[in-house]
Amino acid sequence: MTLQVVDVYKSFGPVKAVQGVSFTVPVGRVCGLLGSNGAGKTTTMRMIMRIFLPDQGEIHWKGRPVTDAMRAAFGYLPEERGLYPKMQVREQLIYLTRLKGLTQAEAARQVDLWIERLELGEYALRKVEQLSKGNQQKVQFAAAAASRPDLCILDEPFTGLDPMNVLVMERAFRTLAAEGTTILFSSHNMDQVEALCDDVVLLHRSRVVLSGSLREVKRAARRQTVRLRVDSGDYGFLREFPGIRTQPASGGAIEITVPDTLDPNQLLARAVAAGTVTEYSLGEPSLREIYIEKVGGADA
Amino acid sequence: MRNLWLVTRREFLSRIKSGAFIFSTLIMMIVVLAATALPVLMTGTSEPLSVMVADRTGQLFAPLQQAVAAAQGGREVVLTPVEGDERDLMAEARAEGNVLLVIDGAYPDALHARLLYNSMGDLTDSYLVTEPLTQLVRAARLDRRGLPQEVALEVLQPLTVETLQLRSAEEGTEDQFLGTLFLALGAIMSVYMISMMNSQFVFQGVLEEKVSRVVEVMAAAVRPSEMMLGKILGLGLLGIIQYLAMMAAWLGGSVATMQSMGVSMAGLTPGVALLIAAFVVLSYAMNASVLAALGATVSRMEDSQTVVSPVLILMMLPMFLITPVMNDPNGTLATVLSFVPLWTPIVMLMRVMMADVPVVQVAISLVLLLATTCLLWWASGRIYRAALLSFGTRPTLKQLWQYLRAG
Repeated sequence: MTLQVVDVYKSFGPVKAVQGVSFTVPVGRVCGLLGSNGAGKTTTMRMIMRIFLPDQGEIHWKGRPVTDAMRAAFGYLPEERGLYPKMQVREQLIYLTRLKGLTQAEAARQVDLWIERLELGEYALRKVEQLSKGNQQKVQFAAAAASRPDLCILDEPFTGLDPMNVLVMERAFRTLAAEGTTILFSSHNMDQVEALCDDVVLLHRSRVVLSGSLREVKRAARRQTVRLRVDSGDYGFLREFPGIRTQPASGGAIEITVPDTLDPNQLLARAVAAGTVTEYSLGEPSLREIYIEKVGGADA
Repeated sequence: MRNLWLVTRREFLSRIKSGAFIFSTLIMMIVVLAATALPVLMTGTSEPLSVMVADRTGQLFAPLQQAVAAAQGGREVVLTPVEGDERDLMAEARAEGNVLLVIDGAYPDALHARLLYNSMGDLTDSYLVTEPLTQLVRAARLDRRGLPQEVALEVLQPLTVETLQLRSAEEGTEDQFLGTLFLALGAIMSVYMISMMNSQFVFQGVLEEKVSRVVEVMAAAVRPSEMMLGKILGLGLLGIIQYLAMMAAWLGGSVATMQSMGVSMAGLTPGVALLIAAFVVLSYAMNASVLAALGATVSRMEDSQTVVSPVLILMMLPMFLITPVMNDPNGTLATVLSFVPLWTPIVMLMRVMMADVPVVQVAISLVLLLATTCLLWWASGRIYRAALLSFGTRPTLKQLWQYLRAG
């Protein structure tokens, strides 16, 4: 009962957009699709929505190959936002929702619900072209969510929003996930992905370089991050530990990436010997660090 | 099918509700009505033709008045004798809306006459005065040369030649030529306007979806074939409404004109009406599919004219050839053009209405048109599917070929 992308390839003329991409998103989970610009995220999403068909490979939903008819159960927010500019917001949302198979009455009920959730009430009877870009984006999100989809594909849903609208959209996003919708979404904001996702897939240069649950991915990084502050400010003792990486942190502290072959307690014991330890914390690497390491490593 | 219906419905409703559509349809109706009823508007004035006659010879007013009264037909003519300075008379005629006829010179051999008018209608009807005047002067000249004036007038009676189209003569009906010509022009105008105007709506609709990027949202929910067909059907239905409105205006104007001209509308047989309907539908289906595909290849408004203009000029070509086709409906040019599917709807329709065309020729042209329409639907569907989500590339022939192969 999952979304399965199996060894998918897609080229546009000489450009190989996606090469042998495979990953799985279990039903009811939120998966972040990460990658730099041109990594193949949008093409992968478009293939799941059957906007493009793969040159090779298969995409399955709940054990069956995705068909045109099956897409009625999928919601989609494309990277390039697009709505009929001359149509009223509510009328347009009902139309797009009905295209997903809902009756007029059910579509109207769902649309009204999402208009309320996204705080779009005062714009419901306005034409789309009269709305700000941020509000148009919220309408686009409502179009993806209002059909009560089993699977929702959201291509950079938070890009270009002001902080207040990001909060509104994140709340709506969590509501959608809480209602059991499987979500695959792309973003360049690693903190946001870390906060919203259960699973991640990292694409680089058209291939998957990392995939799994957030916990597994962090564990698989096989290292921890130590934040340390010694009042003397002398961190020369760290040279005794080969394989660690350091970088200055705020407040005179230092952030140390510790490989899994080294027990962080040894670092603490040596720091205590070097002076008074005023701060010590142990954490997993952030998604941003993992991303930079993976993408940087793949580039090298 | 459900989504096809929803797309069709949206395309239809979103345009029919717009003020621009209602306004443009009304304007078109008024233009068509005015154009077809023009002869009535021009001839239908009930005001008498008032002519101020400045007869400097002093011999012509009375006989002219008699001759005009004797030849009276159509518009009433009132002749009024006037004298005085020509400039003053001209000012008076202009102020009163009268015609001024100035006759001077030596009567009858060196007579000189000038007719000064205000309006087109007065000029058209001026023959009611000028023809009797010409007769009178010729008779006077003949009289001076020994032929009695009564005899001269009899000799100078104009000869009436009755003209009758062979088809009408054979069928024992009144002459239908003018009526047929009127109907033919109306029919080809309606084929042209429906297929061209609504096809352009399809082009604009596809282009708007691409420019506003809503196409990707639609492509994720609806098959490209449903999108294209829904747009063509929705706008086609709209075209039918516009067509009916225009036909009502055209028929209204035509009936009025034909009745006033004493022309028969018998040329509009059920067979011809069916043929007009078939050509309207096939012509729209063919043009709309081509323009939908072209619309899908364009992603910027600036490129739209470059792409659509050459195609529109090709489609419009027969409109520039109406006169040679009308003059010789079964000639080589008309026959050849009527078998070119792009031009069949207009040229074959014109031929069928203006002359006897072998049924087999009509059948072959219809089959060719139908086959071409099917082929273009297939090709346009492929181009539309492949080009729909292509942005930033300028549509070239090479690019079209690539879309056709990829679709």
